[in-house]
Amino acid sequence: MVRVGLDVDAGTGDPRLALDSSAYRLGELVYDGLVYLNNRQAPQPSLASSWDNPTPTTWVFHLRRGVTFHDGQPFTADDVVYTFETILDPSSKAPYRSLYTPIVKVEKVDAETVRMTTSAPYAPLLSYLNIGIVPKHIGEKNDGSLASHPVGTGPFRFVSWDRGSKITLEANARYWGGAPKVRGLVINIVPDNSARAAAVEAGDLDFIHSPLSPQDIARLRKSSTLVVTKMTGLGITYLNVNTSVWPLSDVKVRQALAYLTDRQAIAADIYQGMDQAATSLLTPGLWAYTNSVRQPEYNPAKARALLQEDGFTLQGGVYVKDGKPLAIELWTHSEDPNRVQAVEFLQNAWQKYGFRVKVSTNEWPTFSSAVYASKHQVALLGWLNIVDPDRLMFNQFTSSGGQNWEKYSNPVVDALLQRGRTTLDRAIRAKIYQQAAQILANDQPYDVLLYQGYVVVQSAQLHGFVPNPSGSLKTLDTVTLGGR
Amino acid sequence: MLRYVLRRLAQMVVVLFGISLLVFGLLHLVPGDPAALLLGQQATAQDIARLRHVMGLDRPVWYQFVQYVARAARGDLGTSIFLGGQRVTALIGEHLPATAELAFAAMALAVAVGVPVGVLCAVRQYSMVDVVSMAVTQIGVSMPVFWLGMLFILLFSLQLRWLPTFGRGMPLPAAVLALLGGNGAPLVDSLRHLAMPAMTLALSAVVLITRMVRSAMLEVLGQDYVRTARSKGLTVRAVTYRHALRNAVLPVITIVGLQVGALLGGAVVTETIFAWPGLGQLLINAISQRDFPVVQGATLVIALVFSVINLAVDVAYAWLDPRIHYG
Repeated sequence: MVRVGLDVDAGTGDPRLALDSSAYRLGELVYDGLVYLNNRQAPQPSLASSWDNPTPTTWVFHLRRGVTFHDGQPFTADDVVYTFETILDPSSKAPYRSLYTPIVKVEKVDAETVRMTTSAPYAPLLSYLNIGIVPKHIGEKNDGSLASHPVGTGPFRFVSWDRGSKITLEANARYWGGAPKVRGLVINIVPDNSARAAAVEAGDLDFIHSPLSPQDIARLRKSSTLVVTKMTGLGITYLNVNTSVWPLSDVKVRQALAYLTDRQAIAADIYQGMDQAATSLLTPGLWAYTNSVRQPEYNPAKARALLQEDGFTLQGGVYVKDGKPLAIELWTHSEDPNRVQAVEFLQNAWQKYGFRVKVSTNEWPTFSSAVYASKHQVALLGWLNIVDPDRLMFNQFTSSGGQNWEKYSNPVVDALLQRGRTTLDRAIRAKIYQQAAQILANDQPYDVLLYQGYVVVQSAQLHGFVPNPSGSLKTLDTVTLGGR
Repeated sequence: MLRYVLRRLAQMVVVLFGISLLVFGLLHLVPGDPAALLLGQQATAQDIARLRHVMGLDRPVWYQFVQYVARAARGDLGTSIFLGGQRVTALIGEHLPATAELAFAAMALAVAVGVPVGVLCAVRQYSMVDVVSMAVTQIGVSMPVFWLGMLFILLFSLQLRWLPTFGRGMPLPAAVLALLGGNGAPLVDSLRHLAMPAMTLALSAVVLITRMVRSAMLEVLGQDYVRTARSKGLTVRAVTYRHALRNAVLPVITIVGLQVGALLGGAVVTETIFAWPGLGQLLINAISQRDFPVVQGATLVIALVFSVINLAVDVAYAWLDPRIHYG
């Protein structure tokens, strides 16, 4: 058995309802999606062995034959239709329902073929079809049993769940992709990051991954019995800047803040190189990435010039315009010590150059509900799982976007993001997102601070795991464990 | 005595109702909406509004409270919002035994160490033993639990490789049954898992009990009846244990009772460091997710346990001290 350590217990075993990262990880091991995303986030055949795109709004999926669920029942087109219809049901509790709402129809063509129709061409669709397909015959009982006793087609079969403690899975000997080489997995829930690091160091665990504290990683790197792999993940840490209230409604003030933000220092001193200083909204792991799109880089002299040109004068160490001081509030949530340190660092840095900054940290529910209601001025938070640029930009920056908490509105960006979503050609899409990202880098509704790092620490006895920046544990189905 | 117990039980119902009302009110006053948290950052405002309706969160707060009380009176504490629709009673049933095991182990350890050391310090006041013990307990009471826990892990798991870093073995009662059946391995495993969390949790109680026993003993040892007993020619040993300790132990019982009650509420930090699947972790996660039914259910059970232990302490008083009567 491979002993895996995760930070939180999975909230559910039903992939449609998965919200926390552990529910995702469990879902990938027990279920299969129509596709899976490889370590460059490119969709690969999974339960769909192939697909075609006869018109820009129609997708036809040819399903893999001879696949069975862990209870022995065959997998068919009905299960696919059922899974997506229940996600799209308006009363569904699926957290990521909004990613699928462009789908207007899911139909069974025959037992091995499914057709999806979208309201308009929807380029990111395939990237979201890795969500696990659930068995209709169990799901339609509506007794919630999949949440506590998951049944999928995946490489590992669910055995038992000690709430808050561990989940035991065993190898699915009849897995269509080939049976795993290990007997099974025990997913141990060890909430404290340092305790989890100590457990892998003591040999009580074979595998742990982010979140981990930078200090622990530095120590684990020195161990001869462990292998540490570090890469850029799919998340960003950023400042959400509310553009609807003065002084931050003034683009020059936002740009001045960006010039006063030393992202390199935050990455090096607070995150000790685990996360990387960001240059724009385009994340390095994605096909749309280019390093030529750049937000203002740390340069206090430029900030000073910009504010003076904008009519601010320095009085008693604070910039003032029309009798009003340049005062802002900077918020974050208290659960993440590194983020709390980062806002304190920024408060110091910005105050040194003439801003008056009040810092406030609250627990996540309080903080997030205030940010969702746009009651903030500057808020430090993050986005995860950016498998497509659309996921980081469409709802966040279009004028009526559901996550446009910064109240940004720009018709040019609206049009670009709409085009990016409805253009299927990836090369053209890359250009569109680069253009949008450049405008946003200048306008600064987001100041992207960091590209989040992803770290895997595994026993040197564990062979064959391919780390995926998304944090996916799917390739645990191909590992071998020496000595056991 | 029976009338007294019955009256206390009736008061308990009032206390539990009051606590339910308080917790319910607080949960609805603090910011943070379970529907929004359940759907995450990607959800739209319409999705959240729809889910609030499905969950009944758009009803008036008083109506939700009346419904909750009506169900709770029938023993139905509802289902968790976050943990896959699990029943709250089942979740508490899974987590409470782990917490109880840890709390009682820690308290047994604390009493086993704290009482003898406290007596020794009192009998040999200002001796080397007393000075060193008091210094050590002073350090112990100032040491943060998470730090102590990590030090234990570094020492016992990483350096000496004696104890496992995290988790819980077989529940103790089951492990004892296995031992009676001839298999001692599960009990050894359970105790090895229990050792570090119990020691970590016991520390603050050891300090408290040692100091309490010491000061109570010092007070009693200066009383006239102790001098009389000594002048009758009784041995120091007999006077200390039979006459002095029995009288000094009353306030200690209060402390032990209150500590057990507090520990049963969940030792959040210790449970988190050692990944001990107890009530504290369940409750803290539920609070941070605004999982209203779990918070309400867990606080209700903790309040119930606390009240019962308090009652047991008061009854124990009367039993230990014939001068105390409850009418």
